[in-house]
Amino acid sequence: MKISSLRVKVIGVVLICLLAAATGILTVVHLNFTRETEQITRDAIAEAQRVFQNLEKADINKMSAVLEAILSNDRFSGSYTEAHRQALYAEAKPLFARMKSEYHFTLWQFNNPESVGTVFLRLHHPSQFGDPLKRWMYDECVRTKALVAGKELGHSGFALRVMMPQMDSHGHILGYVEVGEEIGRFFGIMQAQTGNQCALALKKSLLQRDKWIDFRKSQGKPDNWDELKEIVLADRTTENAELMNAQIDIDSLPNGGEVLGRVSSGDATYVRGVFPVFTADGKRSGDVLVAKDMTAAFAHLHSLELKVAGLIFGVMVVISVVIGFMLNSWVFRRLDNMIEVATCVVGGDYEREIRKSANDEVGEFEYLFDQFRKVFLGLVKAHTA
Amino acid sequence: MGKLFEYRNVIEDKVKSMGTDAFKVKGQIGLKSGLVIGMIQANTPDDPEQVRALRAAVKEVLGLAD
Repeated sequence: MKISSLRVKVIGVVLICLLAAATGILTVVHLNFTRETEQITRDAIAEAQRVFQNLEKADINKMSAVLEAILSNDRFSGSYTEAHRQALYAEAKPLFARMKSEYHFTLWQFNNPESVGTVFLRLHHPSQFGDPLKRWMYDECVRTKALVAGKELGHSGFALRVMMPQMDSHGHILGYVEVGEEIGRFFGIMQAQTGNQCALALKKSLLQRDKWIDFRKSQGKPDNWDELKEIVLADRTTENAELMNAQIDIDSLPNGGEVLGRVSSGDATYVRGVFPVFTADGKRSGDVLVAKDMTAAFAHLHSLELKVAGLIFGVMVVISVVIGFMLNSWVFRRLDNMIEVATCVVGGDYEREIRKSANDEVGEFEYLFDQFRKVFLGLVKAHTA
Repeated sequence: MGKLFEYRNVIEDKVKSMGTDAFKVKGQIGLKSGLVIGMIQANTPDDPEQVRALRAAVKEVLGLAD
């Protein structure tokens, strides 16, 4: 069959159209899946953000209630004097031990009034006191004389704190009391609730390298300061570094979070997203990375793409055969017959006729061709007479 | 006897010896050369262009050289 044959051209065009359709269908399937994946990632980010905020709210409520109870208890009241510090510590120590072991508190602190502006007593570090208070939450509590709550970024990461003024029976400020907890345990809860892996990263610019390394050592964890450029991982639900490490520009993150895309780890495929974490003063200080295992979904997509490709290939073969058969019986076989008759007539077989085989365009041509044969035959007879 | 008629005789002899569809073979040669082989007579004048065309067709269809 010549490459210039009409058969080749028609079948070629049909195959090209089918290939284009197949490519289009596969592209649509893939784009649809990509869009779906992005939506799933957005949902995972939103869900993680919601769980994170709910945990924060619940714990602020819990800590506020505890702080109210502490402040209404005369045992923890009194003057903020040197003599009172040891007595206060002795009185509060057993309760703080229970708060730590049973309710995840890690911090209980009495702060001097603004006229002094220093720490009076740290239940969690009783030997450290007297240092000046240069923190937004203290300033805000002094300013509002009301409850202030939120996250603060310390040397070891985020702490969720609640601070309230302590007053005597006449309404005079004695000092400011705060309780707090580390938020690292949030991520285990988030993983349990959502099934997704999470990691908390902090802005390096808000931390001190030496203190961070010391803190990591005290926790029995390796120095990870240099793993990432602008941020450092504080807490994570998996040690899988290739899954959890991502260089994030926290300042450019939208408040609702951002999709990071797909990442493979071993045989598993994840989609990742990230949302910013704010401290109580409204500054962006960290981010939470969320990784959702999409291995099964991607395997399903691959299988679906193979099935679609196989189906399209099968359809292409069937359509090509059907079109080829139809063209052959409706057009090409009849044209071949006309060519053969014309050849034989020119070769001297003047009796060969072309019969109109159908009432269509080719049939019209067959009729005209036979008329032409008759004219030709007349001329031959006239010439040889 | 002209060259064209000589070719006609060569063609007829060859087609007979081949035992194939004589009309079809002669038709193929005719369509390629633009001549009706059956109409070439002994007194048909030789047109150099027609002779050249017939020679080429004979060579192509029957594989015969000069």
